[in-house]
Amino acid sequence: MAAENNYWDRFSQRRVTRRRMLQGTALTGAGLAAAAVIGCGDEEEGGGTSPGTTTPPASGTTGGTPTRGGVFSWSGSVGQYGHLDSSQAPSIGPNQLALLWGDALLTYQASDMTVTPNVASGYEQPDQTTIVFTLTPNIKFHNKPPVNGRALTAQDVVYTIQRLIEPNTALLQPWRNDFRSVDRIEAPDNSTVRLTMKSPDASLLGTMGHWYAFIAPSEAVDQFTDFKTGEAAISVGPFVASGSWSRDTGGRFERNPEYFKQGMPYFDAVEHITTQTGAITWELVASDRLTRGIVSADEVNQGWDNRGHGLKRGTTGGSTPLNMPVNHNLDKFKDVRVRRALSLFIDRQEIVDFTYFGTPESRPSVAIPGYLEFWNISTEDTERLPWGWDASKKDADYQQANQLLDSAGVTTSNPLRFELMGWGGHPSQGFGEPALAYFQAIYKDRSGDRVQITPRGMEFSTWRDLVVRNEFEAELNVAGTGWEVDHVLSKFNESTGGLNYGRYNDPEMDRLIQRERSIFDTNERKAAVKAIIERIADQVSQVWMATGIENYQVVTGDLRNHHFATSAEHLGIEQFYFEA
Amino acid sequence: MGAYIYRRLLGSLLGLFLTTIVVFALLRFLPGDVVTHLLYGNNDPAAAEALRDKLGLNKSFLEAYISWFSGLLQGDLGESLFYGDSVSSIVKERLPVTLELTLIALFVSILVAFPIGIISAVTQGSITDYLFRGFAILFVSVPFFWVALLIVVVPARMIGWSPPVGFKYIWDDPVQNISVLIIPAVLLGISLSGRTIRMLRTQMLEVLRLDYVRTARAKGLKERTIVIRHALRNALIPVVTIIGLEFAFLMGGTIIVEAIFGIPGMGLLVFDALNLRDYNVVMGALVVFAAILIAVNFVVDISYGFLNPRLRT
Repeated sequence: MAAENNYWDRFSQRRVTRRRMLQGTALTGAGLAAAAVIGCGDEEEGGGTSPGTTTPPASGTTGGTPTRGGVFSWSGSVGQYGHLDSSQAPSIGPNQLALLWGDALLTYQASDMTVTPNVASGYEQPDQTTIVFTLTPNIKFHNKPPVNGRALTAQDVVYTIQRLIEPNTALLQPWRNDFRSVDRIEAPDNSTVRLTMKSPDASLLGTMGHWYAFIAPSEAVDQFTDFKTGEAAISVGPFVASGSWSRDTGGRFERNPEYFKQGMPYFDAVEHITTQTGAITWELVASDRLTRGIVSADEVNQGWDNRGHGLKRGTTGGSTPLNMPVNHNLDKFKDVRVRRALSLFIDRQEIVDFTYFGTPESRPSVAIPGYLEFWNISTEDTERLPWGWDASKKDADYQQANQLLDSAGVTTSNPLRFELMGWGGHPSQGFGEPALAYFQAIYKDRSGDRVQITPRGMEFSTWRDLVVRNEFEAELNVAGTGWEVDHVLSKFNESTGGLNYGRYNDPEMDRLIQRERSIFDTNERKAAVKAIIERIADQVSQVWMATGIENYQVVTGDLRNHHFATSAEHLGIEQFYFEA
Repeated sequence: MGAYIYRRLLGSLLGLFLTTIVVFALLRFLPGDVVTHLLYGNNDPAAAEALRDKLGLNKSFLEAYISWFSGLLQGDLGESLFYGDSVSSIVKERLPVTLELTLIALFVSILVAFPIGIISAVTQGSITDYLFRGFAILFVSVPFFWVALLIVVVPARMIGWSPPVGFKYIWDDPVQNISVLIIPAVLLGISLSGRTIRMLRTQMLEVLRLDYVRTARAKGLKERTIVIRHALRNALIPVVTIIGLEFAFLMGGTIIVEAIFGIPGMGLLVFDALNLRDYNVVMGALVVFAAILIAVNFVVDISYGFLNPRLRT
């Protein structure tokens, strides 16, 4: 793990040596980097199975007879944001805990872009700009002061959304932009909510199923301002937070006896234990102190083979992308041929292999969201397109990239020089010096020294500050965006996108995104998404490398009906149970 | 003696004041601020500026320092820029944890160091002495965080046991609290005892060779009385200094052990707050640290004065 100091020595050796070295150094920590940058990658979940020959199937996730009882113990920090109120955190740190105690109007399934009923039993669309939700009857809030178990009304839903979107200096409202198309929301009666949009916005349905849109009672806000503490966390979810919950130690969430989904949740309680390191989490699972814990791919691959304990493992998931944003305000990146060349020089499979040990959920990708086949972009499509990437034709890609540099006038006497910024000094801290050295080396090697990178590693907060202020040339990044496809696409690629810190400004892209947003039919919307992805890859808004950055979860043997695809959509923890 | 205490007190307060200025300045010169974390993903410079105004981050250094310091004089450490909680309440929760860990570790350190140091001195040159000196060197040389990791990892892999986690405050669950703290505290204590053992042994050897000890032996006093009552007391002055320094080291140096064992103490608080550029929390915590360190030094200075009247002038 100390190989970064003699990178060039090793780089000059045979290729396999470099690969091995990189596996152990430069990119080992990128999975952890994802966790850290998004504030909580260790708590991000999604679908998937595990790699390698030791992989048990993701079975055990279903089967057996549902049994009531037991305490589900669960580790993890609450991420950088350190509280229970997911509506007040611009990243996804508190999301899983929020799903224990809060439920939203709908649940969103990222895997097929659909929403399912939840607090709302259904909805109708009388026209393109109106959605009428009907509430599930007999839903009650948690029996905690000041709400004291009163019945939910449509007015509570109205309040919930207004709290998220109406200017309020006491709140951060980081998700306000996701509700930008809401014109007004009203409660014509106690069980109906009418939402009127300024213009058709299909992403609003997904937004209503997001974990930050949990039903928020006004009395709790009046008393506590927000939902950050165990005492304040009051909603209609399957578990009730104990008042003693703390970000430093964790706490207990008791079963909500009045939960509106009949017979659920199965567990008597969920015990949340705050752990500071993945190593501790792993050891706690191994010694049967935890039911489920999130650990890094590095830890799993180092330790999995010699630890039995009847554990299952599955990758956690999501659409978190790994990318190299460039600063579009700089002349050197304005030529699309240059950006395409930078993209074509990247061997994405190499990056995925080194970074994630080849986990199947981590995909090489030239655009986000990944999983291109879901957006009706086949492997053949990918190979056919001029911007495409294919592991089997790397050399052709490099050749094409060099031709692009030729045509853009980039030569050895007129090289493309830029500073590449990353953070974290130690490999386990992410995109620090070793990763920067890797990119410096591959660009030098593959471009015949025409792309010359100056690595610039720094501490995390400094890096983030420079990124936000657009004071960078290029940087290595991972960032969570939320799950709704429009959020993912728009935040990075729309000119006003919240994560578009490279200031990419493409009117055609903006038009495509706005069009996609206005389509409610899933199949039609997929086609619109495909068009955006093609545009992203063609114009190289940023140099995308991979998506679905993973950590692993390890689970003790008797847990049933859990699924590794969770908070990418709805956590569904009320459906988990222990085998009798 | 009164003038001596007065001078020391004045010096301590001046030290504390200067510490606040230096730390405040250093924090302000760090690139980045808490707003970039709070609003990450919201690429709106106007919103960021509004939040900076709200949090008082647009004030000049002098204005900000005066505002913060006047709050401090009234016992108000401000609010966490990131969490919005009162810094006093955060410190109030975290400080007892680190203090408890520190005191247990210090107690263990003394418990281990005193018998070993004394026995090693009185049995100079024997196998016992060599053995104990070996222990002392081992305690000083082996990094405690490495041992801590071994304690966490090895038993879990070999016998499926891991140290207790799930920290509870002592007032909530004393048993769980002690069960979580005891292993890291013992580890820290043993690690720290190495230096105390060596210092105590050296001092004891010096004192045991002095004339008054020889006189005591000639008078026929029991060896135990000579060692404990006469020699040990005089050997203690530098040892007290070492213990004072150990306390200071422990108060600020528990971050690694806090991270490994998941103990929510002051070390982790400062580390996290620094990463988030939560100036108020960092300042609040450091002022408390500095005040404790200065108080410990003050007490040590005063104790010197009592132990050695020549130092009072």
